[in-house]
Amino acid sequence: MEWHNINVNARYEVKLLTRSGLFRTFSVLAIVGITIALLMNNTSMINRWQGSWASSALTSLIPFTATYYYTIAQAVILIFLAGTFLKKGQKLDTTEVLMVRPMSNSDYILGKVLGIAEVFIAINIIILLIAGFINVFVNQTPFSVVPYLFYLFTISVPTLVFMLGLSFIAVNIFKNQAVTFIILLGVVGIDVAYLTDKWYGILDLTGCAIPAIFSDLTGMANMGLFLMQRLCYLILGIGLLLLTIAFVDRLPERKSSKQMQLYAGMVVCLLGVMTGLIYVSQHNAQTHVRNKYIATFKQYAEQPLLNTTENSIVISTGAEHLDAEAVMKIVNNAETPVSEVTLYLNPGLQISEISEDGTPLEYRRDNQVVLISRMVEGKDSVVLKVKYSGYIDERVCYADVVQDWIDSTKSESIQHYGKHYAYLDNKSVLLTPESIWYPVTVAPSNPSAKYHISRDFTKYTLKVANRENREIVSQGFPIKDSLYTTFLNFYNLSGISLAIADYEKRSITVDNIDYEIYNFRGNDFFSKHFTHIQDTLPALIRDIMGDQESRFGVAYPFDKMAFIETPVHFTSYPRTWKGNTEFVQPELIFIPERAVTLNLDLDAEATRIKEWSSRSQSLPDEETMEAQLLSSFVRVFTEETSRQRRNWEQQSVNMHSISPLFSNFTRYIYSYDYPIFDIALTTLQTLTATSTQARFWEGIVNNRQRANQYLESNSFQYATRDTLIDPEIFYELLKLKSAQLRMYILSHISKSEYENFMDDYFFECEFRRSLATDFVAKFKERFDLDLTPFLDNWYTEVVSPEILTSEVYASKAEFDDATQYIVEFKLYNPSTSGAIITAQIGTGGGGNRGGWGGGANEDNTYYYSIPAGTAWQGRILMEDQPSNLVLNYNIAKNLPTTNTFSFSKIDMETDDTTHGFVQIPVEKFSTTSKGEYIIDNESPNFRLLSSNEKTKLQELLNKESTTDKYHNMQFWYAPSKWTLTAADYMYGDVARSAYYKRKGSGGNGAEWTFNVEEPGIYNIEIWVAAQNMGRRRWGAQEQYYVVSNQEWTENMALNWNRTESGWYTLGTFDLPKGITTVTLSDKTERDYVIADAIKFVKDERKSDSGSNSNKQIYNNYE
Amino acid sequence: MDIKIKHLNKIYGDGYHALRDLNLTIQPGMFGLLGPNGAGKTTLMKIMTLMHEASSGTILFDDFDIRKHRKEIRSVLGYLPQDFRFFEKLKTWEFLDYGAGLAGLKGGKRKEIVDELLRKVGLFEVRDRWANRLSGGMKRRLGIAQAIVGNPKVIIVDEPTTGLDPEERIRFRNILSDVSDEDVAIILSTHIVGDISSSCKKLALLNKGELKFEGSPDDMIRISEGKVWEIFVTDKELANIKEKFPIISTIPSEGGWEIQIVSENPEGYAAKPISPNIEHAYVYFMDFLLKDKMDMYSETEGSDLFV
Repeated sequence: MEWHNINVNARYEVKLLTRSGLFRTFSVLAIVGITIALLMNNTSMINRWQGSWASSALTSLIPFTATYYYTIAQAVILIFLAGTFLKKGQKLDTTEVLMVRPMSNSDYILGKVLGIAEVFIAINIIILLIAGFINVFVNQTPFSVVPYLFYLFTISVPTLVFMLGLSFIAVNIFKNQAVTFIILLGVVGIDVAYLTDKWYGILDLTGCAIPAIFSDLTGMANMGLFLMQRLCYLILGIGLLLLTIAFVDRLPERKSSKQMQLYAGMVVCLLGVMTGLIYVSQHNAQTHVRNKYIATFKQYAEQPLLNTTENSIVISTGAEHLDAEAVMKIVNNAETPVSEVTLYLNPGLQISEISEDGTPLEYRRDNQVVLISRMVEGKDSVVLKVKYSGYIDERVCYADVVQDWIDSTKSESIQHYGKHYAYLDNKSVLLTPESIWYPVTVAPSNPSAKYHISRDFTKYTLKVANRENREIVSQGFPIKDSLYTTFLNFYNLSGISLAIADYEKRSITVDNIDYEIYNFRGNDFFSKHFTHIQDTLPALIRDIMGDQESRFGVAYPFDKMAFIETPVHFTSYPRTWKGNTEFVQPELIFIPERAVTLNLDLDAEATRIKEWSSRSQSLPDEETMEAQLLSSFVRVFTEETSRQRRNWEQQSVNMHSISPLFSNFTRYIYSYDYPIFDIALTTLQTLTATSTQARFWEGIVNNRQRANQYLESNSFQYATRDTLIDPEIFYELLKLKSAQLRMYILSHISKSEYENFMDDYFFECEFRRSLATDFVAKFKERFDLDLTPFLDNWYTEVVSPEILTSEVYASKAEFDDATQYIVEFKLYNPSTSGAIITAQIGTGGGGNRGGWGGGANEDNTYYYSIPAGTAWQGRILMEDQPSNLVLNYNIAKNLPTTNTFSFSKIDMETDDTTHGFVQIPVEKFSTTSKGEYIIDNESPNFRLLSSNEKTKLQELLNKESTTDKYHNMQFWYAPSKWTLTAADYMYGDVARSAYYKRKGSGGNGAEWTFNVEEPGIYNIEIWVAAQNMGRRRWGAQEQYYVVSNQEWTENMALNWNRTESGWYTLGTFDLPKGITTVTLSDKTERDYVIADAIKFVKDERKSDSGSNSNKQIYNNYE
Repeated sequence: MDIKIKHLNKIYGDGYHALRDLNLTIQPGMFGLLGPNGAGKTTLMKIMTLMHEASSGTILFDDFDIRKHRKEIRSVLGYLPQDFRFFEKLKTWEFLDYGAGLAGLKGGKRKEIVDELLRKVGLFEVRDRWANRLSGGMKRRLGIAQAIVGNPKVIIVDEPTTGLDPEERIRFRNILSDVSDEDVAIILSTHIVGDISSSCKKLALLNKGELKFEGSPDDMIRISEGKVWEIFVTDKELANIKEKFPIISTIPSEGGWEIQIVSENPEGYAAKPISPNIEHAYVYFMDFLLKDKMDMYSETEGSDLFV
């Protein structure tokens, strides 16, 4: 190998590449395209309201994004150029003379590689410079040159080397540029789309899907593994290039050279593969250890439960090390003695001594479990001192979470963060109860039955050795001396946390509650937005807290609420069985670095507020705008679901919700029979009458619907053990079941009685553990209602009622010279499961469709229990004019689960003002009148007249969920094929559904078939699902139908431009005996066509028999 | 530098025996390689330029064996292939500079040599033109320039003057002649017999992979003496004579054609013997001798020139 030859080849490769039209096009497209992409996604320049904080707040985000885009583009263009790199065809006969030169094959290939690499790296640097410019001057977000260089050399370069090697080898094998291109493009495409999260990301050849984002404080989550993965591809790439040298179609300088290069290439490739295997095995080793800890938890799950009433901890921390001593008062609340004391402590922490009154005790250790040979009699206690030290082994955390969650690096965006569950180093200490950094008697998780957990309430005292330039934060009141900071707690807490870092602290006291913010020094990204409300801040906080206290029905129970910034990789999971994530602890809320993953772009939000206000031509003052901004900030912590997801059909549990501060951390109601009871009761407290009501903007296909479908075939008990259920769906399921419990209670007692009872009970068991049996007993004592039978069914029954509704009317009644109104309805439950529904009446008149409140409030909400197989009639007397009735079936097969009936005009009058909810004979319930025959799209007499089946290729490519039978209506972009959708303005007894599709040319239709047994005059009516929100559309809005039978065929049209859904007459026809079909064409002037229900109504007029020309008597076309 | 070809064989993958036990010695100076299509000339050149590997046998460049000393041999080689038309996107001087760089020339000296060579081949004025935009003759000149850059000891040129106009052809021959004075072996493979007669001291004739003649052009001509005839024929006679003898040239004349044929004894025709040239000799070999009468000459004069 001669450097001179390599250099010559490289120089000329650079010239040739930069002169290539294809490459120039790629370069320009890449630079321009990536610049635009960066401006769109990482700045607010183009979409000022969208917010770019999540993609720019940390120093590594912008350079990573730029590198990500470029690396993928680079991979594609390398594949395309690969075929030309080694081409020796007729077209380049002059290159033969270069092959005769005294250069080795290595010189030739390495020279080409070097030249290509130089050019691609130069483009990469240009793009990174642009990204840097955007970072510094456009965004003015934190900047560091380190990630720019780091990603260049660890993501781009290894990918470049690997793709070059792969492309060269492929060209040598396939000897055809087009074939090589197609195959390699397929390989890269499949890899990027499907394989990047397999086996811990080892197949991610671009390195863009493995965790790569830096914390500006603590660096990368796992630098070693990241570098190993990249090294794997770099080595593989080098190996492939060596093999390319061996396969070059030119005689090597030495006869043995080819063989040596072949062996060298194979050895290096093998080395690359081994590096990859080591990477995978490192991960597997972590999993292995984790599984060991899980097994340990399971092994000791049935240990007798002891409670820690007091725990005084003294701790000092250093670089990946802590020393501590805990003095614990442990109580045996059971009647029977316990032969040994079981403690749990992080397996990385070694115990040096356990003693009682200075006397060492025997103990044995099994990973995180410590078994102390000390008997504790029933109702007795013991005080133990435990001395320990060591590091924190994070693998013991989240033992109750499935391995897929632990391994998953899936992210909302292209940036993938690593995971840490605890920190113990010079820059940051962050320890939460999950890491078991102090000994406890109650295991933090129960992998074998995750809902069978307990929660201890302990009086903690924490004494922490001071560290220079470090702020120490924990629960309780801090007292600082020269050596220690001691935290005194006045409440019993379910656990304590410790955070130590170079924090800047801001605090304000409002109504005896200390509100504190701890941000890493230099990370104050928020103060500048709140400069004008310093004086009014206490009042604003008071209002916000007041709203939350109203929402939860309790006063904030603690003396402090601290927001503490953590390194961005600090991770937790939505464990509904625990009721909180590790982000939220008593008194403390941990927020990620610069709130980057909360998608809290205060700049964009401020812009949005300003511009939105200016549209209404009333630009508020700075103070008002900042107050609104503060509300936006707070909303991040008060919303039920997270705003992170952009797909409006998907929502995720808000992992930073402060609701546990008002509930989970103040009490625990333990139930052996219904382990979910505590959480259900907590969830119930946050529900309102409309919590489980369908919202228009949510669509039909949402997690609540999926939860409903889940319950059709699975019990609540099963759900609590189902490890595969999506947490968001479980959360909706929990809300449904909690609502069901609430509705059951409220169907027996009044809301005020219920609320008073709950307030009293929660006050009584604040900061302690209580028993569900105690709750049930007290409830029975107060209301003479035993909840046990209901709870048994509620927990174990597979519930799937279906509710039919009919005869919904609103009438006026004159009573004592005052106008009152009667809203009435009939309900029938033909299923074998009982149902509990709510009826909520909106007021205000005008036929407000409601669905999201429309004048309704809790006072106009009624709860009804409908046992299986029964029919009922409800009559509600109102003073205010009703605008709508919303029936919420909660858990039922009905789709949607709420049904809204509008009363735009109340013409009916009655003098019957009886009201109530009475059972009626089932025979008196009917959804149709005599002489009416309805054929719905769910009926067997309905069919589509086109193939809706996808081709195999469409199935392969279509990532759409196949578990959703119904789809949300997207009238702005209707599908090209008939698609089943549902909405409450569509027709249906249980499922209010219809088929819809984009307008067509008439080749696709839908057909309803009616067997006329009694020939005669019939009105044919079409259910028009009017979804145009009470306003008419412009332009032609006809749908075209063909009515036909064995005697005649008639073409009809019906105007669908309606303000209300309902039956509209297509025409009146003289139908002969036999089959009559009504066929809908997809040809229309509308944007889409809907096929719902058709009704045949027998008209008692005699038919003009034998007159076929008189088939259509008259057309009631409006 | 002497080139010794010893028992060289080349059998391609499809079983085609392109070279059969070839033995040949080439000394410095212009050496011509003649033969029809498929004779094995290109195969021989591919092996000599180390583009292909021989099936058996070897070639020695002085003491350098093509099987063992490829780097050394490549460092003394210059090559101009037959097809030399399509370039990558390089300028004239860049293409030459590329070759010069790979020939081991470095730095400022390389630039000087490149410019000097461009002047030598008359391309200095077009040095900044894209190589693909050069005329056919210019391209060939560029080709020879890159073949001689780095002062190779062996220059192999394959059909260098095919398609060139007479002026270019003469210029080309002159360039080669200049180089050949410098103790360099130039192996010229060509169909244009005139190129050989004007510049080559020795030549070899290949046919079907075998060496059929080795010697000087004069030796070859001598063998054909007395075998080349000039005859005047009518149109009718022309048709007949075509059937019997290989016709070298046909010049229209009053009343008929002045033709030149190759024959031992053109009975029945008023043939006048003429002094053969190299072209006559080549035709005599290819169309007459090698066809079916080799055995007859195994004992006659010049038979030692037959392989």
